[in-house]
Amino acid sequence: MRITLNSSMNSYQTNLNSIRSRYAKEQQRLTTQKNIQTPSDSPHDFSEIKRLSNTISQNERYRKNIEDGRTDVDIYEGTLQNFTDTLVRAKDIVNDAVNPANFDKASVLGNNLRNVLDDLVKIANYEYDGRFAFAGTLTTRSSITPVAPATSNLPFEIVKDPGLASTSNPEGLNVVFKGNNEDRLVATSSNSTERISVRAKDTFGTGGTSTLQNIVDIYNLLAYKQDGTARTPSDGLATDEARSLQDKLKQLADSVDVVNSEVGRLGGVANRMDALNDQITYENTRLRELRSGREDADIPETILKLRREETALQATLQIGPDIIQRSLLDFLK
Amino acid sequence: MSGFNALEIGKRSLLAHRFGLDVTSNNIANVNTPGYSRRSAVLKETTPGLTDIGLMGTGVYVDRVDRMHEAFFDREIRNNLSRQSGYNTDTQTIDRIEASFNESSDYGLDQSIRSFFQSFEDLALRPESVDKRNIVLNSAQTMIEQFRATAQSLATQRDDTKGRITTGVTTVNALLGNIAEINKNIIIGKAQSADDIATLLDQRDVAIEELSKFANVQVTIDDDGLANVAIGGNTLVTGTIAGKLEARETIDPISSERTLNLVQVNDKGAAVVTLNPTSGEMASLLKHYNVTLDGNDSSGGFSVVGELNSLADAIVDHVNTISNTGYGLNDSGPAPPGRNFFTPATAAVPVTAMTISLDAAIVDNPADIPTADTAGAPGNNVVARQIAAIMNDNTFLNNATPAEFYSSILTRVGSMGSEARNGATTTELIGTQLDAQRESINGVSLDEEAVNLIKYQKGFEAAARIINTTNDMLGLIINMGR
Repeated sequence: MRITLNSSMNSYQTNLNSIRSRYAKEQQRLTTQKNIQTPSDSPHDFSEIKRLSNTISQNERYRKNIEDGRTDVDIYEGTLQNFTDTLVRAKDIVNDAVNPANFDKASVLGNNLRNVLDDLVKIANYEYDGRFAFAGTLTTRSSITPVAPATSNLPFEIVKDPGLASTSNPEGLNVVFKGNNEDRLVATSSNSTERISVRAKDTFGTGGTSTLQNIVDIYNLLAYKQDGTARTPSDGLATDEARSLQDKLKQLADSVDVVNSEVGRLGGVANRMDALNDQITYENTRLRELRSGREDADIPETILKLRREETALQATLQIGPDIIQRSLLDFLK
Repeated sequence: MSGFNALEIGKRSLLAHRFGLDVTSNNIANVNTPGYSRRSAVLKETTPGLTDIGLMGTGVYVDRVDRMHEAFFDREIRNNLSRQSGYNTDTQTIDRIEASFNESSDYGLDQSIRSFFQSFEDLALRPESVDKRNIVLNSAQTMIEQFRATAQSLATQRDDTKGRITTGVTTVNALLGNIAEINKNIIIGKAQSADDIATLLDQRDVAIEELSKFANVQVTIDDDGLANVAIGGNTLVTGTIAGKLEARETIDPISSERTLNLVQVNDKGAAVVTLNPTSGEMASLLKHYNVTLDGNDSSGGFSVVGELNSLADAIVDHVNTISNTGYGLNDSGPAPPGRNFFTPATAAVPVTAMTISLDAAIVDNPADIPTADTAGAPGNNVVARQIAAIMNDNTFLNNATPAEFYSSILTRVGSMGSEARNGATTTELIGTQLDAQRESINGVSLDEEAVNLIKYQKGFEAAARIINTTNDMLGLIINMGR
C-alpha cells in the first residue's frame, strides 16, 4: 500500500483529535466529578440514575411528612399529658370532696373544680401553629361558627344555657364542642397514611364533651344543693350527694384512662413514624450509594486515565513533526 | 540511419523528460490540494523507422497523462460521507436538545415537577396555612417557567433547524449548478481536444463529495463522461442541466402541523417532485424539524416536543380533575366550586409545554386552592393529598408516573444521541480508512515524486548527453575534410 504524506497527516490528525477528545472527557469527569454528563453518555445508566433519584426524592418527601407529622404527634402527646394531669387534679378534688371529713368544704371544692374545668377547656382549645389541636378539620377560628348561647369561635366553650337550667344544673352550664371528628392524615409511603390528629370524641368522651360535662355535673353537685340553691360553707354534703359523687368519680377515673389510652395510641404512631424514618434514612443511604456508583466519577481512576491521555497527547505532539516532515525530498542535495 | 536521427531522438527524449518533470512538479505542487488526483506521464516509444538492418527505434513521446483514480472508493466515500454527515447533524441536534433539558444540573424540569407535587404534600400538613399555599403557587410557577423555557429552547432550535435547511438548500443548488457547469466545461475541453481534463474531473468529484454531505447521492457517468446526479432516486443534474431545489412548508389546516419538504421545482417555480433523502445533513435536519422538534407531529415518530406537551397536558388534566372536586379555605359548599388549578385546555388553545399556566382564579388567591373534600374544613387535606399522590400514580401517562415518563423522554433522547455519536465515530473511522485507501491510489507521495524527479532529471541529462555526443560526432564529420 502506498503511504502518502496526506494519509500520514490524516491518520495523525484523526489520532490527535481522538486523544484530545478523550483527554477533554476525562478533564470534564474530573471537574464535575460525574461519570454521566448527559443522557446520551449512557442512556441505560442515565435511566437507572433517574430511577434511583426519583425513589430517593419520593422517600425524602415521605421522610419530611413523617418528621412534620412527628412534631404534631409530640405536641398532641404533650397537650394530652397536660390534660391528664389537670384531670387528675379534678379527680383529687373530688376525692377530697367524697371524704366525710371534707363534707363541709363542698362549696370551696366546687369553686376549685370550676377553675379546673376552665383549665381543661383551655387545654382542649389548645392552638398551635395557628390551628386548633382537637377540633378535627375545623382548625381555624374562621371555620368555627358559634350557635347561641355559644359566643366564641373556639372549639370548646362552657355556656350558660337558660334552656338547660334545672335544680340539678341551676346555671344551665353546658360544654359545647363546635369542631368535628374528622381525621388529618399524612402519607408515609406510596400506599399508606398515618393519622396524626386526635379525635375529640375519642379523647373527651361521647360528643367530644362527656368528660367535661361530667365535671360540670360534679361542680353542680358541689356548688349547689339539691333544691338548686347555692351551697354555702355551712351547707355540708348530704350522704346521697356523696354517693352520687362516688359514681361521678368513677366516671372521671374512666375518663383519665380514655385520655391515657389516646396517649398510648399516639405513642404507637410516634414509634411507627420513628421506625419508618429510620428505614427511609437507611434505604436512602443505600440508594445514594447505588446512584453514586453509577453517577459519580471514581477520582483516582479518573486521574489515572487523565494522566494516561496526557502522556499519549504529549507523545503524539512530540512525534508529530518528525512523522509529517520527513520525505526523500529532505535528503536531496 | 544518419547522425540527424540521433539528434531527433535526443530532442524527443529531452521533451518527454521535461514533460515528465512538469507532471511531477505539478503533483508536488498539489500535494495538499483537496480532491487532487495524482497524475502520471505515460511515455511511449515512437514508431520505429525501417533501416537496412530492420526496424530501428526513433525515440520517445508522451502518450498521455494518467489520472490515478478509483471510482469504487469515490462511491464508497460518498456513501460514508453522507451517513457521517447525517450522524454528525444528529449529534449536534441531540446535544442541543439535552442542553435544553438542562439535566446535568440539579435544577432541571424534573426537579421542578417533583418540587411542585412536594409543595402539595407540604400543604397537606398545614392546609390552613396561606404561606404554604403561596409556596404551592410559587412551585407551580417555577415548574411552568421550566416547561416554557424548555419548550422555548426547543422551538428556537426548530427555527434554527429550518434556517439550516434553507441555507443547506441554497448550497445544494449551488453545488448542482457547479457540477452541471463542470460537465459543460468537460464537453468544451474535449471538443478543443484538450487532453487534460483531469482538473475538471477532480473539481467535479470534490463538488459531488461536498453534495453527498447534504444527502445520499447517486452518480452515473454517461458515455460522454458527463456525471448525472440524483438524490433519493430523482435526477437533479442531467449533463449540463441542473435542477433546482426548494424547502417548502405545508401547514395542516386541522392539526396546524407544519411540515417542511424538500421539493424539486421547475423553471416556473412549481413543485415537480418531493425528495426524500435517506441520509446526509438534509435528511437529518428534515427528520428533526418534522418529527423530533415538532409538537404537532402525526407521523408516529418520537417527538420530544410532543412528549413534553403530553406531560404538561397530563399534569394539568390530572391536577384539575382533582382540584375540581375540592374546596378552598373560603368555600361554603354544598357543591364544590369546580375550581381549576391550571388553565384548562380548550379546542382553540390546547395545553402544551409553552401554554401551560395557572388558572386566573387561583393565581392571586392562594386561599382558593382546593385542598379539602368538604366545605368549611380548613384542616381537611384530602384533596391536597390526592394531588400530591399524582407523583406516585403509575398510570399517570403511558403506565408511568410523571417522573418515570419524564425520565423516559430523556432516556429516549439519550439513546438517539448515543446512537448518533456511535454512528458518527464509526463512520469517521470508516471514512479515515477509505480516505487512506483512496489516498494510496490517487494521493501524492513526496517520496515517489522525489524519485520521479531524479528519474526525469537523469533522463533529461542523458538526452542532453546524446545531443552533445551527436553534436561532437557531426562536428568531427564536418571537420574531416580540413
